[in-house]
Amino acid sequence: MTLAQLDRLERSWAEPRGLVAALTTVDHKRIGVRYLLTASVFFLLGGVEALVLRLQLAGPNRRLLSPEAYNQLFSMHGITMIFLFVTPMLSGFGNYFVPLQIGARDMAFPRLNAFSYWVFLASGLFIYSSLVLGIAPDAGWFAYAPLSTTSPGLNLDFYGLGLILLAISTTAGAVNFIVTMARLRAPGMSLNRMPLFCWSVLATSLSVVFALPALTLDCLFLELQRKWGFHFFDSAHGGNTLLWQHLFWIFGHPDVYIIFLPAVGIVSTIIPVFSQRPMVARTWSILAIMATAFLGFGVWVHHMFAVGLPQLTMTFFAAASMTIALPAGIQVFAWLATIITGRPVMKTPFLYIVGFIVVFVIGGLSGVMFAVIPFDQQITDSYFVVAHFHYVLFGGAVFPIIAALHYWLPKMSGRLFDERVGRAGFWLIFLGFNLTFFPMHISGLLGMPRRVYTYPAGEGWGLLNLLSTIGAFVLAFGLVVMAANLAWSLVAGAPAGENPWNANTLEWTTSSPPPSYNFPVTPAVRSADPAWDHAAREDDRERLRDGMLVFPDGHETAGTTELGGDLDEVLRMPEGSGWPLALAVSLAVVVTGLIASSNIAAALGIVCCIVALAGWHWRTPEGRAA
Amino acid sequence: VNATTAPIEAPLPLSGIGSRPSGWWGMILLIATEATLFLLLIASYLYLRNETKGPWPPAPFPDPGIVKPLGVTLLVVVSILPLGWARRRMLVGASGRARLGIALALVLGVAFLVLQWLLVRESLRTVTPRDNAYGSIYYTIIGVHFVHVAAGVLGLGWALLRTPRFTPERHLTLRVISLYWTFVVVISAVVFLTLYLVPRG
Repeated sequence: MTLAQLDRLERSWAEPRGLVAALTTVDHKRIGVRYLLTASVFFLLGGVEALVLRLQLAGPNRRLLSPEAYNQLFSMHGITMIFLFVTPMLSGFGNYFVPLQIGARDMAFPRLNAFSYWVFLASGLFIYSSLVLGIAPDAGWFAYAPLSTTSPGLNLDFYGLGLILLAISTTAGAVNFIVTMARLRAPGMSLNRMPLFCWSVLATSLSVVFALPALTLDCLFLELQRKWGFHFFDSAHGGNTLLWQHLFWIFGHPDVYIIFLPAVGIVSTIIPVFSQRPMVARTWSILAIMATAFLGFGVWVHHMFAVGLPQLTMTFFAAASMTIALPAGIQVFAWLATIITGRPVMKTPFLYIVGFIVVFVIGGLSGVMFAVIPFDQQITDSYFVVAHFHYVLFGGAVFPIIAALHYWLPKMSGRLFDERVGRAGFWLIFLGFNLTFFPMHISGLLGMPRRVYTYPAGEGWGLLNLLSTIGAFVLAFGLVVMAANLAWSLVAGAPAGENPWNANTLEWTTSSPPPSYNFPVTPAVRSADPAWDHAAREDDRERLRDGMLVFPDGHETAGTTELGGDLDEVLRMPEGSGWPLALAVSLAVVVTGLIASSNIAAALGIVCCIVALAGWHWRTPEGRAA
Repeated sequence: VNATTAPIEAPLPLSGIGSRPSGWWGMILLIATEATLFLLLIASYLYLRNETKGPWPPAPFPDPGIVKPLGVTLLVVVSILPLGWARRRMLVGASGRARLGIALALVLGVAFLVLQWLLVRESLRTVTPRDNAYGSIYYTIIGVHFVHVAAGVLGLGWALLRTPRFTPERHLTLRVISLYWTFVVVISAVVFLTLYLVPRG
């Protein structure tokens, strides 16, 4: 490649600094970092809420929190962690690394990507404004009717409207991921060569497309009933409270996999790298990911075994729930076989993966116990459930997320963290986690119900709760050590180089941090482990010298066929735009108008939405139609 | 070009003949999520009916009738004909006729919106969504459907505005909005079957 070409490439993709550029950028890496930072702030908020809850429960009859404050805090803790932390955090990794892993220069719809982030931020601020006002949602993260329909104040309206807004963001993000992976893979990356992390994001995004409408509809029904006197969940007027639960869990169980599957992708990314061998049973792993996402739609009633449904229904759903063990088993054995047949490198990211396997298997075992209906009916709504889903969610999602931070931050910053402090952080987190949540199994079996703001002395729960509280602070300290180490690496870490882990995927073949155009030359892929395919990368370098597949003029990236990944066209990508932010702000005006019962403000917001959509698309050139 | 076997230096086909445009995929996925929303709306309708003892619709709701709803639904359904015609005209470069076809579909869509608005306003004088759960789900389905037709009408208006930019090869806006309008047509038929035939079944 001539220097003039490189110069043109640099200029085409230059990312100016400054306020206007920050508000209009469509760079998937900047948006990915924003997702990660914003979600981390919500994790901090949700974590502080949890510590306050643990202080309240440290001993019997404590009066740190009023019952009302406790209800708001435990509801916000759940809402924050499920909706505002885990999914956006994984979207952040997806945004940053899916285009890099498939050898693209951006997402398929860069402006939609910016829009998704702004709407996520707006919904997070909207929901949290309720806590500032002291009127946060207080009916738990799944807000069962009739408690949620009859509770006074605006608390639950923040829940309903906030989640509808968030669903727009999540759905737009999912559509973007799917089209990106369908159309923007590097030439030669047929679908079966796509990295496992991308497969997991694909499965997750498909689940989002089909699962989120159930939550949106439920929240629409909730708002129509609360604000305009409709009767969906009101049995005195022909409604049915169970309609809420059905719709909620039709969304809610797939959402468990929406949270868990990207984490599976992270684990399947890190295990082959730190075992220094290709993934064992790669195709089976892909099938397991897709099967889990699909089966997740047929098991929702197992959240409702205690509500009095017909025996036949419950048996069907119990059997369906048990089939999930098949893909899960395939997945775990493929990981173990990869580790056993490889040469494991025990560094911090891998340590977190081992921690994940241990914790998640414990959570999985208590999960299988819930598929047994009589056991479920005995133990539901006790602290045993709290223990179970923290093992699944913290073990299944947070451990992989921390592993991914250690694994990918050197690519994003170009600097390495301190390995010894990294290990110390892991052990503090691992021990703190188990000290917090293992005793909850026992307090649950001893009969302690969940969601109580305090409990009497003399039940034998006091010591167990004290242990949980001590564990929570050890865990928090471990998280601070972990975060401090990563923050320190940003300023003083050793240079990471292109590929510090000798990893196998494309993001490790470009510089750390990657340039704004990701790759100077579009890589041509010939295997499922392209960074280990040195002959193909040498061919890339040769093409770079000849100026082939460089696309130096404008925001351009390779468009390939959906299945085969054959080079099909050069796609001209949009550049920065302020309209996505304008549309997000307009949507925020709509929900704010609705919560303030100002129909004029809401209508004005809708008009602004239409104007923003028109402005967004007016100058877009007409695309090919065939 | 098969990049896995053929040399990558082969001339680049700039037309994109082997894949669907990204915008087409985006619209398919939007339709998938919207169709799921309607599926769940209809499932909720059937669930509430199933859990209700006695006649459906329950008092004070009268029989919802069939003639007027069928009439307005047909307005939307037949609009698929001029729109399909517009797309075929556009492919051969007859943009004047394409514009006429889009305009006809737009007029039919607007006619539906006006008549449906009047019908709903009339029925709200006697029975409302606050009367019982049947009214709630009935008017909610009507309302969500109305919003989707209105969005489609805005899309048709947008396509009409952009016809000067269309060429036989490049008119993705028309293709994508036709796709959405086809979805609206199918959903209109499904909503009609649910709301007006289920009470008779």
